Amino acid sequence: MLLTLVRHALRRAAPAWAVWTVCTAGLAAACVALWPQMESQTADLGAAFAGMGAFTAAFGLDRLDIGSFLGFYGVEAGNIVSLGGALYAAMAAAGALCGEERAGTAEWLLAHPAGRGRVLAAKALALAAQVLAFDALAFAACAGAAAAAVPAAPWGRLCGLHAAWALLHIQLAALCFGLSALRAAGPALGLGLAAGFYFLALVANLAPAARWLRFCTPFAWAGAGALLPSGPDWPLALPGLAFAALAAALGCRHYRRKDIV
Amino acid sequence: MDAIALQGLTKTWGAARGVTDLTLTVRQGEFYGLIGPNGAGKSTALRTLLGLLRPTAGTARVLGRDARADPAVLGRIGYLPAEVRFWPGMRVGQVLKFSAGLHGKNCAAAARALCARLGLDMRKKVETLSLGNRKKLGIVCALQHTPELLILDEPTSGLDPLIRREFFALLAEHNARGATVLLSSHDLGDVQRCCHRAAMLRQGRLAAVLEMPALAAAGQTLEEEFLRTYREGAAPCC
Repeated sequence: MLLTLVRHALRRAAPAWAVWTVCTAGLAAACVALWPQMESQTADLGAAFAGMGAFTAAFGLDRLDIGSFLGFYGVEAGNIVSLGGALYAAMAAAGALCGEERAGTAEWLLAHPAGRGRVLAAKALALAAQVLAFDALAFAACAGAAAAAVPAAPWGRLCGLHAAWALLHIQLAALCFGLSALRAAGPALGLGLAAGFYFLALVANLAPAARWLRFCTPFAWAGAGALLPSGPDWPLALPGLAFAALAAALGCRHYRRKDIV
Repeated sequence: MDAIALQGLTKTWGAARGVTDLTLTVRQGEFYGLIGPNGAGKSTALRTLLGLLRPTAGTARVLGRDARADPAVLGRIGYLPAEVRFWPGMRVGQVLKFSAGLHGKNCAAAARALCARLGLDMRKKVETLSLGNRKKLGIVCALQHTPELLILDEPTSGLDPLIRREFFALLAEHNARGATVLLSSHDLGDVQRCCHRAAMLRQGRLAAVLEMPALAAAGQTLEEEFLRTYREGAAPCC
C-alpha cells in the first residue's frame, strides 16, 4: 500500500522533475565543460571577479580562487546546482501535503485504508527520492564534465561539495514539507522561501552589520565560498538543520490531526 | 453489531455548525437513506464517520471501529464523495488500479465488468470526463472491491436515467449479498423506492427516522413527509 502511494506520488512529479533536472544538470555540466577554454584566461577571470566591488563578497568570490578548477567549479556548478535544486526541492515540498486538498482529491484518497500516516510517509519518501535523484544526476553530469575537462579532478572535494548541496536541498525540502501541512501553503511559497534564503545569504555576505543573517539561511553554510576553504561550518549549519527537522515534525503532527477541507 | 453507530455526534468549526448531537444506527444489511436540505449536515456526518473529520463531541463508529483511529476498517468500505475528483493525466483504468492497490487487491475483472455495465471507457483520461462519467468512475472505485459497507454521498447527481437505473440495480445486488448501503440523496423518490429506512436531518440535527414500508402502507410519499417535517421545524416567519 505504501509502495502504491509512493509510486503514485513519483508518477505525478516525474514530468516536472525530469525537465528541471535535465535543464539544471545540463547547464551546470556545460559550464564545467567550459573550463579548458576558461583556464587560459584565469588571470583575467580572477581580476574580473575580484573587481566587482561589494558583489565579490556577496557571492563569496573573495574566498574562492577562481583561477583554480575547484574555485571555478564551486562558482559555476555551485550556484546552478545549489540554487536550482533548492528551488525544486522547496517548490515540490511546499505543495506536497496541501496539494491533495487544493486539487480536491484528498477526500477520495483518505477514504481508502492507507490512512493519513501512510499518505504522509509516502509523500515524504517520494520527495526525498526526487531530491536525492536530482542531486545524484546533477553530480553525475558535473562529474562527467569534470572528468573530460581536467586530467585529475579533485574527486574528494567535489563529492564533498555535492553532498553539502544535497543536504541543503533536504533541509529546504524538510522545512517546506512541514509548511505544506498548512492550508495556505503551495509551490509559490516554496519558491519564495528558497529565493528569499538565497537573497539573505547575499545580504549577509554584503553587509557586516547583517552577518547574523547567516544563521537564518542555509545558503550561508552551503555556498561554495563557505565550503571550499574549510569544509562545512557545522555550528552555522546545525541550528538550521534542526529547525527544518522540527518544522517537518510539527507539520506531520498537524497533518495527522487536521480535518479535510 | 450495527454497521454504523453515531452517538451524540457533534461537529462544529468555531461558530459554524456541522451536525449537533446526532444519534443514529444503521443495521448490517440495511439499505439506509440520509436526506435533508442543503447544509443540513449530511456530508459532515458521512465524512466524520469515515474519519475525514474529527468529531467535536460524541462518537462515530463504522463496522464497530473508529475509522480515524483504525483506518484499516476503510478497506471494508466503499465511499463515493459528493464531489469526486481525480488527478488529471491519469486514465480511468489507472485510477481504478490505483484505488484497488490502496485496498491491497487486484480488482481488474470486477472493474472491467462494472465499467461495461455503467458504460465507462477505461482508456479515457480523467480530465476529459464529464461530471456524470467522473461520478461513474467514483462509483466503480467504491464498488470494485466488493465492500461490506457502501457510503455514497449524492451518487446520482449527473447520471442519466438509464445509468441511474443500472446504478440502483448494482446497489440492490450488493445489498442482496449482504452489503449495507448508506445513501445520501436529494432524490426522495429513489430513497423511498430503494431504502428500508431513512434519516432526515434538519439544521444539523436528526429530525426523524422514517420506515419506508410503513410510509408506503400509509399511502404517503417521502416527499410529502419531508416537506411536512421541514415546515414544522422551520423557524417562524416574521
